[in-house]
Amino acid sequence: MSVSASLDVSKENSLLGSTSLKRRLIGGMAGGITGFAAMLIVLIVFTIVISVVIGGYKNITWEFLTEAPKEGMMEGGIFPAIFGTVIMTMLMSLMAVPLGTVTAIYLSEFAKPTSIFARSIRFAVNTLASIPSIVFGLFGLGFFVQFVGSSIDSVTNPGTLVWGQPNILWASMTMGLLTMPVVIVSVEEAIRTVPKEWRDASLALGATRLQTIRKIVIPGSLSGILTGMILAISRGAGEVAPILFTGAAFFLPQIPHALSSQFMHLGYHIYILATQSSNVEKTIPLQYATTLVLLALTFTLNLTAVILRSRLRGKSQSA
Amino acid sequence: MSNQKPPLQLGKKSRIGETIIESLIRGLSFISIIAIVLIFFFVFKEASPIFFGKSEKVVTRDSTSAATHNESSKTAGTIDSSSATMKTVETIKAKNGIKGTEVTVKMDAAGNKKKFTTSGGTVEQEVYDPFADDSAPKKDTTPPKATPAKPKEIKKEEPKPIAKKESSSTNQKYSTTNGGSVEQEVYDPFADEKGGIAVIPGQKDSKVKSSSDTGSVGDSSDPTAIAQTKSQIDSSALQESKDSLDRAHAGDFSNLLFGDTWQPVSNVPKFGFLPLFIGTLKVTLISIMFGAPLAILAALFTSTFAPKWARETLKPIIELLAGLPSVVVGFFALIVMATIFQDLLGYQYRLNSFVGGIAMSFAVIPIIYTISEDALTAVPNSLRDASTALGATKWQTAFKVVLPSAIPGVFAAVILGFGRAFGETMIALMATGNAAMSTASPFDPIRTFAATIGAEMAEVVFGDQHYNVLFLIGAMLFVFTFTSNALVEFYVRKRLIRRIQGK
Repeated sequence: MSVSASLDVSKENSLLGSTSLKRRLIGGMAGGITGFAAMLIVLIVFTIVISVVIGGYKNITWEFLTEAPKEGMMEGGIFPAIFGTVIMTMLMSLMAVPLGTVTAIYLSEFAKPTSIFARSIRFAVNTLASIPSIVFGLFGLGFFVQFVGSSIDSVTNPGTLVWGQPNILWASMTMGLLTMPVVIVSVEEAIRTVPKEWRDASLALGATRLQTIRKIVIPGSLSGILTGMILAISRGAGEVAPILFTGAAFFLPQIPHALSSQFMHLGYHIYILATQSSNVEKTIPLQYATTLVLLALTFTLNLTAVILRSRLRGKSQSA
Repeated sequence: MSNQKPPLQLGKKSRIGETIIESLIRGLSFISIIAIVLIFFFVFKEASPIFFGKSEKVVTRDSTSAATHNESSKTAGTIDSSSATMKTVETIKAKNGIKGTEVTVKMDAAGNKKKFTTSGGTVEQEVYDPFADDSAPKKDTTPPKATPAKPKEIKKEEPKPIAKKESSSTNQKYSTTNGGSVEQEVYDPFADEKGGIAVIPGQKDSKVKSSSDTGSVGDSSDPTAIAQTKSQIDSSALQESKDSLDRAHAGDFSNLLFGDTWQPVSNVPKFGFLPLFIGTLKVTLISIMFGAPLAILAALFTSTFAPKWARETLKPIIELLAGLPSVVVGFFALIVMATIFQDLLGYQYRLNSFVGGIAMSFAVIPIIYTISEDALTAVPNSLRDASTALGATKWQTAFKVVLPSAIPGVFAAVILGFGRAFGETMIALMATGNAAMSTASPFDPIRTFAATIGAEMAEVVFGDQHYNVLFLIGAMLFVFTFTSNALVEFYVRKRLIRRIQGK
């Protein structure tokens, strides 16, 4: 296939040889088109970011960041939403990071790459990463809220509704499942950067496999685990669809006080303000400001992850 | 290397500990597989009553919903229980009666709402409902009249009387004649004026069947029944909406999937998937048509043409685009993009599939870019070198050697991008207008599958048909992504490897 392709090229080449101007023109255009596409993508990113920043920076005040919404969410701040987002992402990483790390360690250290288990786990991870987030929301509702939560309720205190309704715990666990693939992929990538010689040396010195993992592999890939964690938090902070019906609340004047209470979320707050509020026009400054806060949060996290990862890659190349 | 025995001094104890931890790691790593299975199971479980809920499960489902009604209205308890028993009765009757057996068991827990007799002679039954015109649907178009095959009729009859007897104005006569055939006549005073009731297919069927009018004995009206039903309807208005849902349940299954109206919240809910499918397809195609060329060309740029500095800057920027929360993209599309596009192109609706599709391509571009860039850089340098050595220019190498040999990977990227756009919720929810229209124009508002779930799940009653239908949509999304992922995993990857290795 590839051989025939190159043959084609050579034939055409001899034909085009006389009209070098045409060749150069087409060549320049081809390079130009691809470059233009790349430029356009960059332009899109900057347009989004800059328009949000310009629209929102005026309204970012101390009061906005530390107060609860007032006047039917027409005024006031977004503190409960920030707090809810932070708590939710923390609970989520408590679940996603250990599980993801363990899976990544299994995939890279224990499993043979060709074994059926490793392959099916890898396929499951890929599928998990590409399932639409709204389906995770449905799953959270059907499994955590309706099944697990109701079962807990019927065992502990029959007749009442404590766990069998959307709350921050179920939302975090749903989100944890969603972000687990992110952790797995980036931790596995990091573990692969630990040179094989180190492992061999450790084993040759008489360490067991587990000791090697604990003393050599994990310290060597710590920054990768950190990257995975940050990326997962960033993804979790931005996703709204899974929490739409597993725990996010329309409006709560106070911050969540227990695992079984609902919470406000920055992304959900934007969605509510932009589409469901009684006076959308009036809250546009608030919407911009909330979006800016969310964007700042995720961009900071993402940038940290990108920098960490590029340092990691540099290290693996030098090692 | 891993087969090395641990040193002697470590002792047996620590080895046991190690084995435990190792098996723990093995066990925990199966979580992702378990998660997939659980997601599959539970999403389908909640959707399953649509398929299997016709006879037995309807009763159980309704009795559970009756329990919730007890909280809302005081008198509803007895009514619901009575209706539940009547339902079971009717199911028995329908099953037995059509076959021609003599048994028709009848009872009424709530009182004298109905009269029942048994086999030998006649069974009369009358339900008069003065409030039916309120609850009876008016604006509906007539459901398909085509009478299906006989076995289907039998199936359909089971849930039908449930709905009819409670709220619609019907007048039923059940008569078991000596021969044992059950007749069922339905008189519907509103049918000709308002174009029918939700259960008309069922009614028509029964009329067709009751052509032999031999053994029917007239109605005997029951004055107490009127009062009874009156109080029922008064006390539980909610019950009516529930009934109408049940009534829609009687509509046949193909109607559910291929109907051309999505109208879940009305007296007669309609769950036609067609407008949602068209909407989803439209917005997905627009996003792919805009996003895929851009992303593939940009990937070609980074892998072939770009100087090192451009590559190093482009990659983090694409990663930032990937990290952009979809709600932010949706917000941008809703507030900024929609206005600009409308000013530029001058179409009628501000939010439409075009705006939504372009916005969605921002979510698709990073996926297509990353995967096709991987595929393009995986093309061995020997191919490039050979092409250059034969005198090809850079663009000839790029478009005629590198791109063709990486085409399975690029294809995989587009498939995965398609899957992402298909299930994208927040952008669709915010920027597409959310009107279930099935038109061809890209400038009309649409409603996607995912956005439907996101918008409506918060408002449904747990366990009713609308709820199940939304879960069915979720299950479809799941199957779709699972299939496209499996396709990429088992077919495209293999081809890509074969192609690059030149086998």
